[in-house]
Amino acid sequence: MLLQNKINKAKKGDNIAFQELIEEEKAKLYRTAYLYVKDENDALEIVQETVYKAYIAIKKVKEEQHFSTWLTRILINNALDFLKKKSRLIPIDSLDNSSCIREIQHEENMDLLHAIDQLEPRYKTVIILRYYNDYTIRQIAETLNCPEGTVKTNLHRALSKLKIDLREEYIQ
Amino acid sequence: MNDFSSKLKKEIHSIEIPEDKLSNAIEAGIKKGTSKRKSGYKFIYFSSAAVLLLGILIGTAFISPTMAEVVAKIPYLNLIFKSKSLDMIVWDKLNKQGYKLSSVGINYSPRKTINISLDGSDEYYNEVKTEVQKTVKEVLKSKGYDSYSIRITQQKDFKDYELNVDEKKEKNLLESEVTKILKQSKYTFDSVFVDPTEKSIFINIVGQNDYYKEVKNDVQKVALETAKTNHYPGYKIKVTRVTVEISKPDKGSLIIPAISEGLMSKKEYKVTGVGYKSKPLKIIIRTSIKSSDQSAKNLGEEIESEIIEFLKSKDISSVLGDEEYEIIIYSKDKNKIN
Repeated sequence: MLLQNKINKAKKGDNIAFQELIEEEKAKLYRTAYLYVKDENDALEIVQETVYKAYIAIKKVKEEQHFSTWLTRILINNALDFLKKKSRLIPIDSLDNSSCIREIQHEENMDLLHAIDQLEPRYKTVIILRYYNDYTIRQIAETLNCPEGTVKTNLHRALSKLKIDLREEYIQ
Repeated sequence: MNDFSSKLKKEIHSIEIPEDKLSNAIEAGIKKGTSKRKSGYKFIYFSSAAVLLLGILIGTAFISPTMAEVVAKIPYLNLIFKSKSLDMIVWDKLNKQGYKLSSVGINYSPRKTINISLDGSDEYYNEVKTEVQKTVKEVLKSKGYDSYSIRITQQKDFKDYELNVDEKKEKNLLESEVTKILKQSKYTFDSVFVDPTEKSIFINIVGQNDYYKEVKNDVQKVALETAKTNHYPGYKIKVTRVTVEISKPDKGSLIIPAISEGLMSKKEYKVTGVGYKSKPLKIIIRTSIKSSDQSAKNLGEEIESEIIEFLKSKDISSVLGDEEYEIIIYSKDKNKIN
């Protein structure tokens, strides 16, 4: 009830309520953004943009809709946009170096994250939402604005890709 | 699967959070929100920069773009080198047919896509969408390119954003304050630019690269402090060292666009990325084939010989001279396959 109160206040333009809502989500927002871009500054930029967009659109949140799901949707769209823009900048020159650096960072203890990192964004997204955010298939479908069937297929494919990739790594 | 989920959560939780910076970012987001406005200009800024860059490349590399369609016997990559780049061809074709174009762009990742953005009303967009798609398909077919999907979007109208009174005040104050402080500290720089909507301060350093490296972090700190003491937290400071000197394009930038378009546009090459380093010239190709695949070696050799043939041809050897070069082709799992 408290949460619903805050959302209502924020919708009426109460900055403090809005700030408190974001405060509760910020760690998750940052980490999710980081999973996509693997860079502190880029992740921060995505969070900033997300907060901005959430702020100007908060009035549109429907009461029955969960604030957190709504916010996550904005974040994911931002992250995907960001990647899309960035992909046009990368190819020349930095290609060789960046792949080396990325590998070094992950060698520590993040083999699962490393595997997820190899997935295409849409597969990555369903994995993050299902197993990190604990969303149901239905919530994922709402978040991504696509049919539940698509979510199931993507989840299934993502998992089978992960299994293959992980297995190969264990063999070596 | 619970095990998977908990392991994943554990790993994600080991991603460290830069608390201060995160708070700053959130604050800046809210502040930007309070000065409500439409977003969208960023993208245009970006795409116009890309077009500009392309323009330069084309201007330098293609001495005579009109003699594009040439007879056989010319190696595949040379043909592309002599022709206009794919996005320009698509642009010209659509432009000639009178479509209201906003931009044409090519994406290579995550999936190879040609993006066409159209100006005009919703009705116009819906009316011509399929025709445009068909035209682009024909262009691709005539070039023998089969690896792209086509995406048509509508460019929504937007107006150039004008700063409001508060933002103007913020900009002027910060620009003069930061300039003052930097001068006091005797840094050499030639511009301070404040964008209050993006919450960014751009500072351009003048001097040698060593000097730039030495002072970059300090300048950043000083500027951030200045913004904070003037009650504008959450600013990002971008320090650059851009000189207006026009340098000759290096050899790589002359030949890479053709190699890149040629190899990326046909599925058979399985190429996902093309990069290069100059001095000495090193061409790096990434492919989607696994090194365990029996045909990996063949593919590597095929790509290599395609490139060598191109580099040895008259067009290129006159550019390259007798400069040494190296070609490295990677499989998906980052093994060398040539």
